[in-house]
Amino acid sequence: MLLRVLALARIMFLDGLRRHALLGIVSLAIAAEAFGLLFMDFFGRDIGRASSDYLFSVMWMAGLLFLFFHAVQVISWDEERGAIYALLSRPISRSEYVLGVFVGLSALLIALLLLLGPVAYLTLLWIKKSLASVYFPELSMSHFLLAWAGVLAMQIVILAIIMLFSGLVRGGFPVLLLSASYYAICSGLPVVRASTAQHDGQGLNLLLQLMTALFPDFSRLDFKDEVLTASLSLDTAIIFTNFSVAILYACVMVSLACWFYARRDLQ
Amino acid sequence: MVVSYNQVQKTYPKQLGEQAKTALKGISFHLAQGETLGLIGPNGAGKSTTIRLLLDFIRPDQGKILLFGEPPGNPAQRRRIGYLPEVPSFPPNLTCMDVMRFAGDSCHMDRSAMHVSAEKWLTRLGLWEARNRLLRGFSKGMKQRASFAMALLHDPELLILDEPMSGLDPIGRAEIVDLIRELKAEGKSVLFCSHLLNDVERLVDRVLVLHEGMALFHGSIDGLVTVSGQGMEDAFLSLVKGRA
Repeated sequence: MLLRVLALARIMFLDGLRRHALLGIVSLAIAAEAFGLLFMDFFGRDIGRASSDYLFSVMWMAGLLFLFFHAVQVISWDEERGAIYALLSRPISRSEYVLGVFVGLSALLIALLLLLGPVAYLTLLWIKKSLASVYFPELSMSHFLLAWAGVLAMQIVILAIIMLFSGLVRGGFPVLLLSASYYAICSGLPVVRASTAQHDGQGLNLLLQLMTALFPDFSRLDFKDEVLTASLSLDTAIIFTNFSVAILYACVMVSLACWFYARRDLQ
Repeated sequence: MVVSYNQVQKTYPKQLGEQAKTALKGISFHLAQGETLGLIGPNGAGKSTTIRLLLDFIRPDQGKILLFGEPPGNPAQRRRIGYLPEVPSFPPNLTCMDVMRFAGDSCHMDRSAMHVSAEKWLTRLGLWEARNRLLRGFSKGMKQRASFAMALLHDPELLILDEPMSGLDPIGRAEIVDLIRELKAEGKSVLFCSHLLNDVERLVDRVLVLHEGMALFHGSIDGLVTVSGQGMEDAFLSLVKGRA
């Protein structure tokens, strides 16, 4: 099974790697990260934090562009163009197909972040070296890696959700709409929870808490504030738990995607 | 028996703005080892549905389909099948060799055997020189031949060919007809559908005439011609018009 999934993942990776639009996203993101060297000049204080936030936002946005403009369409393209028939006429099950697409797209996402991560770190390092330490006191490489892994984990979770919607509905546009709505709910839910926590509606609070199981709170994996600190402000057990929950959540979503897709007619 | 259909019925469910459509109405036929069966019929007759059911792309509502003696849901059975889709399509940014490697890996072929087989079929189909070009630059005929090479790579026992001659020029068509004849002589079972009745007449042992999801005739070409007392094309037209 692993061989077949990897064979499919390989062609998904190669197909994405040679897509001009994705090369455009990568070029744009690298240019935007390099712009960070000029961007810091707009700030009189907290230059380190502003630059770090900016560079992580560029990585996040590049990942989202990849997810919402490429990943949401991969399965529907295969269906609309008929490539799915060539692929599934091989001894590959529908579940292996979904897994192969997920692994291939995850590899592309990792490649994208592997390219942008070092550029972002070197940019931060350059900025730090060009400033007096009072403006940019600390830059931790291990914390940078933790924040980078957090961005990757959040985007893998979104990719898993995209796979689920691709398994449930036909067409790239409905998958895009559902995925964007899901992301909006995930981003908005913690704000709603924070505002209702001050009131007495216990039932509502419980409902919102249950909803978090479906729409996870991505801020739990947002460690970019740690990049500029010498020691972690969070317990490592909590960090480990947050990553484990994200991985488990992604596994459940991809398993559901496989289950639904295996039961669908390919019309 | 390689393929067996018994009273198979398939209805496509109602979609937004469309009615439910019954594509197959109780079709029965079989294909024996080493035999060539041609599926013919006008557009919308149910030929592609018949093939898609066999590959488990869609599932029947009623009836029983057996492929190598088992229902077609098991992907491992497809190691014994080579399929040429009606519209050859691949992810566009791959090369011919990427597709061959995928086809070989999916069947657990070892690399050297895959390379030997890929070279054999790509050379035979005139694509060896273009093996490292991206498929998005291929013409329809080239894609058709690449798809054929992919179908033959793992030396399958059963070939399922959906309009194998579409998109090919007369020379390409003649080459494919020769190739199917060779494969038939090697003892492969072939199930193919085509609109080109001359090609069907030259290649098949038996023919299944479909019209509006029903089987109008199932038997030898001689039998079809004898029934109407005319040539194959006339026999086909009189069968279909007789039902219209």
